[in-house]
Amino acid sequence: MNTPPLADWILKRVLPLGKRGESILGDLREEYRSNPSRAWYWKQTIVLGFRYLTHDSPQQRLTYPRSNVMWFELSSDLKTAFRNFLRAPGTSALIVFTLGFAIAAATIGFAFADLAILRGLPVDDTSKVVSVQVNDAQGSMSGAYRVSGADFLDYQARATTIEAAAAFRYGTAALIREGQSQTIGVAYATSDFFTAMGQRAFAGRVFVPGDDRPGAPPLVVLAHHYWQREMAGRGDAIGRTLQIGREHYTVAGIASPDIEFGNIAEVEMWLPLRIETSSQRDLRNLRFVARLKDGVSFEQAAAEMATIGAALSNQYPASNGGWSVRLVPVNDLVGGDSFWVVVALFLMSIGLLMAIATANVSNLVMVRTLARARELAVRTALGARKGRLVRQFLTEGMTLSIVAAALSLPLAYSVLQLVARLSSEKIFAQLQIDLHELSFVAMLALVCPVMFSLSPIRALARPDLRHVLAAGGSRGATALGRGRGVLVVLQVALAVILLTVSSLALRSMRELYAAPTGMQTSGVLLFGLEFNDAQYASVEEAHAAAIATRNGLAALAGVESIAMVNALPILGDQGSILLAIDGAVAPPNEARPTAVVTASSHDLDRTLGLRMLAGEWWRDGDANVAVVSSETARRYFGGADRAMGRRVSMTQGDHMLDARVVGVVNDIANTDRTELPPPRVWVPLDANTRRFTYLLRSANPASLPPSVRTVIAANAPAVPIESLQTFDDALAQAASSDYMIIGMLSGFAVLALVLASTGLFGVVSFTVAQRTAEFGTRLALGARAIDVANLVARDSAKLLAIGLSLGLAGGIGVGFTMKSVLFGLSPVDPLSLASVVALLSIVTITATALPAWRASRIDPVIALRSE
Amino acid sequence: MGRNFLGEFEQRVLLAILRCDANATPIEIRKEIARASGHDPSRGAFYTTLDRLEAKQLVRWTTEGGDAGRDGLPQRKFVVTPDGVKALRASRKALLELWNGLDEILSES
Repeated sequence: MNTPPLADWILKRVLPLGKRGESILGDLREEYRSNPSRAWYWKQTIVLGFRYLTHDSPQQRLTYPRSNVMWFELSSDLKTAFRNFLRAPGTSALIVFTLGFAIAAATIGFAFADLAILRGLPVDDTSKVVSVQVNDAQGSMSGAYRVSGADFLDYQARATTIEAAAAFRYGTAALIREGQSQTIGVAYATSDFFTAMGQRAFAGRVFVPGDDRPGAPPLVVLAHHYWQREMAGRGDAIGRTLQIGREHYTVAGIASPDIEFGNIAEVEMWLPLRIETSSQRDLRNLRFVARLKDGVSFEQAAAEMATIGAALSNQYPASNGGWSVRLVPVNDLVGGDSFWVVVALFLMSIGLLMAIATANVSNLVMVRTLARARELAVRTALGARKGRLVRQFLTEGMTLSIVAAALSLPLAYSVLQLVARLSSEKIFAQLQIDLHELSFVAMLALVCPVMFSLSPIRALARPDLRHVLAAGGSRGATALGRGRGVLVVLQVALAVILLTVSSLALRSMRELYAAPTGMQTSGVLLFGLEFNDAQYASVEEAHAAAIATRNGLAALAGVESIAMVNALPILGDQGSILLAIDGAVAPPNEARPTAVVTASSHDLDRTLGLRMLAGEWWRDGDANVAVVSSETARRYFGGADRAMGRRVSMTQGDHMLDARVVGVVNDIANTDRTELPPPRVWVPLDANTRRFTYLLRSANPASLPPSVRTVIAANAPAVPIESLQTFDDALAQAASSDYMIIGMLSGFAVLALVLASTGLFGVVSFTVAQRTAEFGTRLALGARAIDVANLVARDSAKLLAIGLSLGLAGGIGVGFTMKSVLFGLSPVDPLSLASVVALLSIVTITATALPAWRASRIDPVIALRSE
Repeated sequence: MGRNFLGEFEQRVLLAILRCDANATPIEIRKEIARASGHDPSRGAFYTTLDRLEAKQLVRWTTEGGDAGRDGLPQRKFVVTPDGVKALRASRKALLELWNGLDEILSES
C-alpha cells in the first residue's frame, strides 16, 4: 500500500533537506509498511509539518539554505515591513485607518449595490423567466399590468412556448393560534409558481400541479424567514396544521430562502390560488410570471403571447378590446430608472472614495519613502536589484492593506446591522456580508497596494538615487515629493464631486417630502383592524363590530373626529381602476378614465382636513354617492363646477357601483411622491369590507393609544391592532429607506471630505518642513511672520482652487445625469454648490492654519543651523 | 547551568541511544523510549530533539542505504559522543544529589 501522495508532497517540503529529512521520511515509510493506516500517516505529516514549520532545526539555520529563495525573501521582506511599521507607528496607523474606513465604506456601498443587482432576483435563470404584462392602448394600468384570472387560464392553456405559467397575488390572511388572530402577509399562487420561478423547496415540498384545484386538500408553504422566526427552524413544522381564516392548512414545506427578494421577501406564507373559469375578465388583479421552454427565444414567446392576446380581444371585445400583452424579462422588473440612478450613484461613490483614499495613502507612503530615502539609496548602492525593492514596497503595501481590510469587515458589518435595525424596510435586513462582499474586500486589499505603491516605485526608477546619499537625506529628495500636489488636487476634486452629488440628493429629497400631501396629517392617529371571517362569520357581524368599535372610539375624550377607510391614502393606495363617466364606456382605442378609488366613512374630510372645492362630503348613510378630487374633475369632467351631479361608475368588490358626484375635494399626493397627484374618487364604505384603517383626529394623538386599546379590546377582542402610530410617523417611516440611502451617500461624502482634508494637511505640513531653511532665510532677511504664513496659505489656496473648479465641473456633470431623480431642483442648484464651496474653503483654511502658523514661528537661527 | 545542561527528554533520548547500542536507528530509539516510559513520544518533538542534540555535539549519526521497505531512503544510526556521555554523567550526578535522602518520602510501596 502506497503512502498518500499529497502527504508525501507536504513532507518533502517541510522536512529538512538532505539525508536528515530523507531518513525521517524513510522512518515514516518503514513504520507505515508495518501499520498501513492513511489516517496515521496524515497525523504524522501534520505533527512533523507543524513542528518543522514552527521550529527551525539548528542545522537548518546554519548549514542548509532554503531551497525556495522567493519564500526566504518574502519572509525577510515581511520582517523589514514590520520593522518599518514600528519605526513610524503613527503613519502606519494612519494608513491602516484611512484604508480601513474607505474599504468599510466601499463594502457597505457594495452591499447595497449587491442587494440590488447581484443578490439576484428570486429566479434561477433570468433568461428564461418573464413577467407577462397587459395594458390597454392608453396605458390605463400604469405600473400594475395585472391580468384577470380568466385571461390567465386562457394564456396558460393556449401558449405552447411556455413551460410553466403562474399567477399570484399578495394579500393578508388571519392566522389563528390559540384563539388569537394574527394578520400575516401571504401570497396566493397557482401550483406552477415555484416551477416557473425555478425555485425548489428548502424542506418538504412546494406546490405541485393539482394543489390549486378545487377540492384539493388545503396546503401551505412557509417562507423560510417565517419558519426560522416563528418556528425556530424546527424540522417537525412540516405536516403540522395551521388555522388560516376558517380553514385548516397542512404545512407542505418550506420555500427556499433564495426566493426572498423585494416584495416577495415580505410574504410569510404561500397559499394555493384557485382560479374559477367563470371569474370576471375585467377584474385584473393577478401577477403573471412564465418560464420559457428550452430552446424558445424571448421573441418567439413574445410573438405567441401577443397572438393569444389579440385573439382574446377579438373574442371578448367588451373586456379585452384594445388590450395588448407584452413580455418583460424578469431582469427589467427591478426598480425604475431612478433606482438605477441610485445604484449608479452608489457605485460611483465607492469608486471616488477608494480613489481618494488611495491617493491619500499614496501620499503617506511617499512621505515614508522620503524618510527612508537613505536606506533605499544604501541598499541600491550595495547592489539591491530594483525588483527586490519593488517587491519590498508591494509587500509593505499588501501587509498594510490586509490589516486594513481585516479591520474594515467588522466595521462594515456593524454599520449594516445598524441600517437593518434602524430602517423599517424589511429589504435592508437582507444586507449582509457574504462571499460577494468578502471577494470584493479581498479584491480591494490586493489592488489598492499596487495603486498606492506606484509612486514610490516610480521614484525608485530614477537612476540618481545616489544623489540622495550625497545630499545627506531630506533635501535631496524634493523631487520625490513632486506629484503630491497633483494627488491633493485630485482628492479635492473627487471630494467635491461627492459632496455636490450628495447635497443635491439630500436637498432634493427634503423638497420632495416637505411638499404638501394635501392632508393635515399632524394630529392624526391611525391603525388597522381586520375583522376576518374566522372571528366574524358573516360580513354583517364584521361590519357591526367595526361600527361598534368606531362608536366606542368616537366617544373617547380628546377624539375630535374619527374616520374609517379601506386603504390609507398615499401609504396604502391600491392602484388605479377603470371608471365609466356618465355610463359611457370609452371605445377601446380611446383613453379610458382611471382613478385611485378609496372607500371611506362620511367624516373623512373633517378628520384629514380635506378642503372641499365644490359641493360637500356625503352624510352618514348616503349610498351611491362619490366625491372626486380636483384632478379627476379637471381631467374627466372639465372642471370642478361641471363635475357636480354627474355620474361615475366603477367595480367595487364584486359589483358595479354607480355613483353621483356630490363634491369635489383637493388633490392628495401620489404614493410615489415624485409623480403628480393621481385622479382620485372617494366612495362610501362597501358593506363587504372587512379590513379598515381607522383615523382619529385629536389635539394630542400621542396620549390616545392606551384608551384606544381598551376600546378595541372591549369591542373586537380577538382582532389584532396593526401599526398603531401617528400619520406623520407612518409617513416618516415610509420615507426612512430613502433617508437611509441618502444618509449613506452623505456619509461617503463626509468621509471623502475628511480624507481629502487630511491629505491637504499632510501636503502643506510636508512642504513647510521641507522649506524650513528657506523660510528661515526669509525671516533672517527681514520677512515678517505674516508674509511667510501667506506664502504657505497661497500654496494651499492654489491647490484648493484647481481641485474645487475641477470638482464642481464634475459634480455638475454628474448632477445633470441624475436630473431624473432630482425633485424640483436644478443640477446647478446655487445653494448646494455654494455650501460645497464654503465647506471646502473652511476645511482648507483649517488644514492650512497649523502648518502656516508653524512656518511663521520658525526660528531663523535654528533653521539656518540645520543647513 | 553548564553549556551542556540536558532537558529531561534529551536525557531520555541519549539514554535510549546508549541502550540500543549498535542498533540505534530513530525507530528503535523511539521504541526504547516508549517501552521505558509507557507512552509514545511525538515524532515532531523526537526528531527536533535529535537535531538539537546533534547541534550541541552530544550525538553523531551515520547513514546506511535503505532497503525496499524504506523505498530506498537512507537510514540513520546514532551514537552518543564522549561529550554526550559527559553531559549524562553530570545530569545523573546532579539528580542523584537531589534525590539523596528523599527515599522515605518518594519510595513507592
